[in-house]
Amino acid sequence: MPGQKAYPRATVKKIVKAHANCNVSKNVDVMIYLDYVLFMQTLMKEATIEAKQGGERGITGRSVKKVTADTLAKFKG
Amino acid sequence: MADNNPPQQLTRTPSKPSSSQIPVRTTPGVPTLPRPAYTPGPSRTPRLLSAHNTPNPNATPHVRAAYRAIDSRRAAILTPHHRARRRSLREARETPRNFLLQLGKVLAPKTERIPSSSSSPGSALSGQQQQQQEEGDTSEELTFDISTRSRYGDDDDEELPKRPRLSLAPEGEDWDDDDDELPQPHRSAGLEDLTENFTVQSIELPRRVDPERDGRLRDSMGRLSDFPQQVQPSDGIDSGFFPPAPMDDDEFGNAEDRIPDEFSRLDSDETRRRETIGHEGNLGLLGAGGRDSDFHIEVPLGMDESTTTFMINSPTRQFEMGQASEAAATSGQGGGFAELMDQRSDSYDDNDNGPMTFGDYDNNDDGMGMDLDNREQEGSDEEMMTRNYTPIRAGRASISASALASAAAARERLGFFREEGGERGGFSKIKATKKISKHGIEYTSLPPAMVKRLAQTFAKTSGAKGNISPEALKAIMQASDWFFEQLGDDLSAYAKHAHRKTIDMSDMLTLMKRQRQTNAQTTPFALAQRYLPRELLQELRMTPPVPTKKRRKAATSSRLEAMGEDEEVT
Repeated sequence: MPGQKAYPRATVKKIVKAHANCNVSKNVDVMIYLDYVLFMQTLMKEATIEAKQGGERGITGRSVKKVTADTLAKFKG
Repeated sequence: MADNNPPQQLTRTPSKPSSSQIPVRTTPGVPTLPRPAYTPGPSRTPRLLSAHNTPNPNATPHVRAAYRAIDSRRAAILTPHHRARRRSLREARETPRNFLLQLGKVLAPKTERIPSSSSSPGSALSGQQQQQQEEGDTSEELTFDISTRSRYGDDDDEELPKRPRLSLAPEGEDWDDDDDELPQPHRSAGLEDLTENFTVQSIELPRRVDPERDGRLRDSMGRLSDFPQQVQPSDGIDSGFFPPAPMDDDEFGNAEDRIPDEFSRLDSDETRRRETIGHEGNLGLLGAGGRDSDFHIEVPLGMDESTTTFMINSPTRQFEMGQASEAAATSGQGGGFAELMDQRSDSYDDNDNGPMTFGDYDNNDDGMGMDLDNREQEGSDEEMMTRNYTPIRAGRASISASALASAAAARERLGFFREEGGERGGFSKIKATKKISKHGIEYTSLPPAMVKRLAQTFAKTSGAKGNISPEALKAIMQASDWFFEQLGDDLSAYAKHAHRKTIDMSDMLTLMKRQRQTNAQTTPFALAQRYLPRELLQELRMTPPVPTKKRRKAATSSRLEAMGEDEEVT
């Protein structure tokens, strides 16, 4: 992570801009990325738990899909 | 029962594994070894690794087999770690004996070995045991298994009538003593004999498991849609499950040529169809559930035509189950029986090697009902074709063959994914494709490599293995798309509420607070410190919005500010 670019800032900004139909002020995208990182952490944690409960070997698509709705609801502002 | 079959081939096959192999019984359906019911065996008592200290001599053979499985598993788990310790124990116990044996060899080389009364009979066996004890390396489980196996193998080879006597013995005890669990050994012993004698080749493990899985998929995909088309002209019996086998009972290779015939026949010609239904009435009892395919091999022995199909099918199926995974990659659409089987067995794997990711998506999608319709139309001809096989197989084939085409087609027709060419290639590659938000603005989703890297790091920290399958990555990408959509909606709502046209840092802070990501203990800056790389942190720290953010936080409480500062320092 430290060596390379952490995330494409312009892409994140564009995505949020497209969804919000608003301008995004400076450096908000860093916080947005931080929120996304937190979301991914929660999602992967939940998916791991789900995969373990389901007896799967690793994180599968099924486990991710199962926990996606809950995690999104958790991140509803 | 036990007399009228050749004892050599049938009874030997289960009791033949090599001496180095620890028999781990993972599934309960295996025909267990032919063991006498009431011989505890002196060699099984000194077991170090056994899960149970004193094996119940009255236990049923199944119970004992289960115990043996547990023990061997324990042995397999424990052996590599405690090898040294166990060897030292063994040496402490066995060296005098070995030493005496060697002394005996030196002193009296010509004396014959007297088999002790306590050890198991058979000179060859005792020789084997001693050999292995002299080696001192193999675990005791091994010697036990070898001894029992070889002993019973000898029994089977030499004297068959011994077994009925043993199975009868507990019965007498049972009537006299009235112990509990006593009827069980007798019955299961008889069952053991039955299965071992007649259906050694036909009993296989996956067959037990398959019908359930099949039922699951059938409900979800092909069958439901199939029903109204097929059953309504028939007369009560749900003929959708029965194969019209006796009518068109050709080789499976010819099935493709007959598709038009089948099609017209099943749709228009009702009388012939009724004929088949009447003809299969006795099969119907078995095939109605579609689940008890185990008995298709045995029971319809009286029937002439369908019997041949079943008898042909079962070995091929057995064969296909083994090879399914490797051949699945190359299996194409439709075609021969083998390919159908491959696709079926492959579809239950969680490996994402292929088109079944479609079906996987369909289970959760909203467009499921519409997919069903499409599948009904497109999958009908495939099902006609596969109706020649057993009913279960037809269901699976309809799932596997038609699901590929129809799922892809339906997906594109429904436009479930908004991107243009993303799903066209199917499972080839996830690309950053152009999507259009609800405001009509084009955007590209995040690069999958970055998402995968992020997911891998968090999967590792949350305890799973770090590898993310492509299917899982697809799901994660979808989730993150939804996340950004939701986030954009929320942020725009906050900004509009503040009569702004620009999403500000305060909106984002509000959002994170409402998401309960930041609270009294965790400030946004602490989170940033924990999760963001240093250069991004620098950006956050050096930019003018940060002081305003801090002032806003200070407005809420100055104590939290101090805590945040502390966390920043650490």
